[in-house]
Amino acid sequence: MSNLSAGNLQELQTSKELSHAKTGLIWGVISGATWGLDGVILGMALAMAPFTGGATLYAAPIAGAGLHDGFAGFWLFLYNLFTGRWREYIRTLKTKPGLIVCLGALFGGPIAMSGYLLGINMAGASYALSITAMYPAVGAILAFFILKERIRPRVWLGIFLCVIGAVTVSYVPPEGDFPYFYLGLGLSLLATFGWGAEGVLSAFGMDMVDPAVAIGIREGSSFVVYFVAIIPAVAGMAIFWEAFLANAILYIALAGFLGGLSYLAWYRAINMTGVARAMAFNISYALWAVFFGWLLTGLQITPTLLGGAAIITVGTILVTANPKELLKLRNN
Amino acid sequence: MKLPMRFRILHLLIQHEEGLSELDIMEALRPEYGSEGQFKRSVIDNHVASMKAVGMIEIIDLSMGSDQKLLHKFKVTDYGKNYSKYLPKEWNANPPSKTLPR
Repeated sequence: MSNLSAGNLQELQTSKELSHAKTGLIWGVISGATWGLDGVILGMALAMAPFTGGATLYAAPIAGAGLHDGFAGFWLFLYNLFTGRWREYIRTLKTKPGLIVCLGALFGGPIAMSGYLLGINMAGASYALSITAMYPAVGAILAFFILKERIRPRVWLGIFLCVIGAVTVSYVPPEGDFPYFYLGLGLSLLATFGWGAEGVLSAFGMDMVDPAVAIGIREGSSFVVYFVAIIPAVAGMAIFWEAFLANAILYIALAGFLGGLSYLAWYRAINMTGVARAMAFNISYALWAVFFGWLLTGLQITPTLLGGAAIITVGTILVTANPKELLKLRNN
Repeated sequence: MKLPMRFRILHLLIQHEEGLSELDIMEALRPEYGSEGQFKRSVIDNHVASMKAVGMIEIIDLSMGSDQKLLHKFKVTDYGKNYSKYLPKEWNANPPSKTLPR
């Protein structure tokens, strides 16, 4: 037996808890990077047949988003199958925390994604992207009030900078005529609220449910809603099935894999470091998307992109500056 | 009906207010979850670490196990007890025996 003193044991315990928290931060970085790459690959898929056509304007992106979540759910189920967690799906769905995770899925999946796509269409990308980039701030506010999450002033500033950086990176000059401009702004706000609410609902559910199972259920239930309601509503079923016969499906399957990995990392980060920090990391995808876009699609790097990237980097450093704050996530 | 394992760990700690170690938790869960791939010390360590970080459980004793891994005694907090309202009715009405298999 060991002769360690109480002080030594406490020191070991603190370092163990710090390592748990830092692992959560690493998951946060992975979530941002893989989401950025996922967006670039999904963009490549949506530029291919059959996604270049469609009965309505929204048919292709919505069918693509549904397929993406379906593949993500499929890969996550395989992960849970091989790690011995698959029986947890049904158990979880029979409990209230499981249903709360499903509610989060509804907010973050079909509601937010449809609001986002419709917002871009009705109000223009410059406004829709800027509004939806605020979701980490909405998530942090909801987490502060609902989960009593501890968020220090420095972390608030970091989140704020991440949002500003993401807006800078995503900004495109307004152009075109938008007869439904205000409806588009409203739908963009709905998307922002949807993603923020998803973080808090999933964080609450994961207090009682394994994050890997929660995200498996999230992607699965999101796909079901897309397949049963949203895709038929925008006349996207034809594109959905045609995609399986085209090369684009390979890109969607890869994007779904990256999306599944990203969401798994995001949910783990939420669970291990809290909603506010995890969201600040998650939104760094805007930065990663620029990097992968430059690498894979020849995206031109402009001073605006570099400025936005620098702001996001400073923001994430402020959010993570003191991992010891992560030892107690909530005021309870 | 079985509970999700994390929820079951919380339920177990609510039943045993005197506190339980990771090894006690594993022994108690073995009859229910022992045949599943997720039934591993590392997975259970992760569950309790996350539950502690959000304040659902606390550490009341710390020692070094014979395997040279830290061994904790965990106790549910008042905040953690609040979550019992989300338990399915049959788990609140007819909880499994308080006796741990030894």
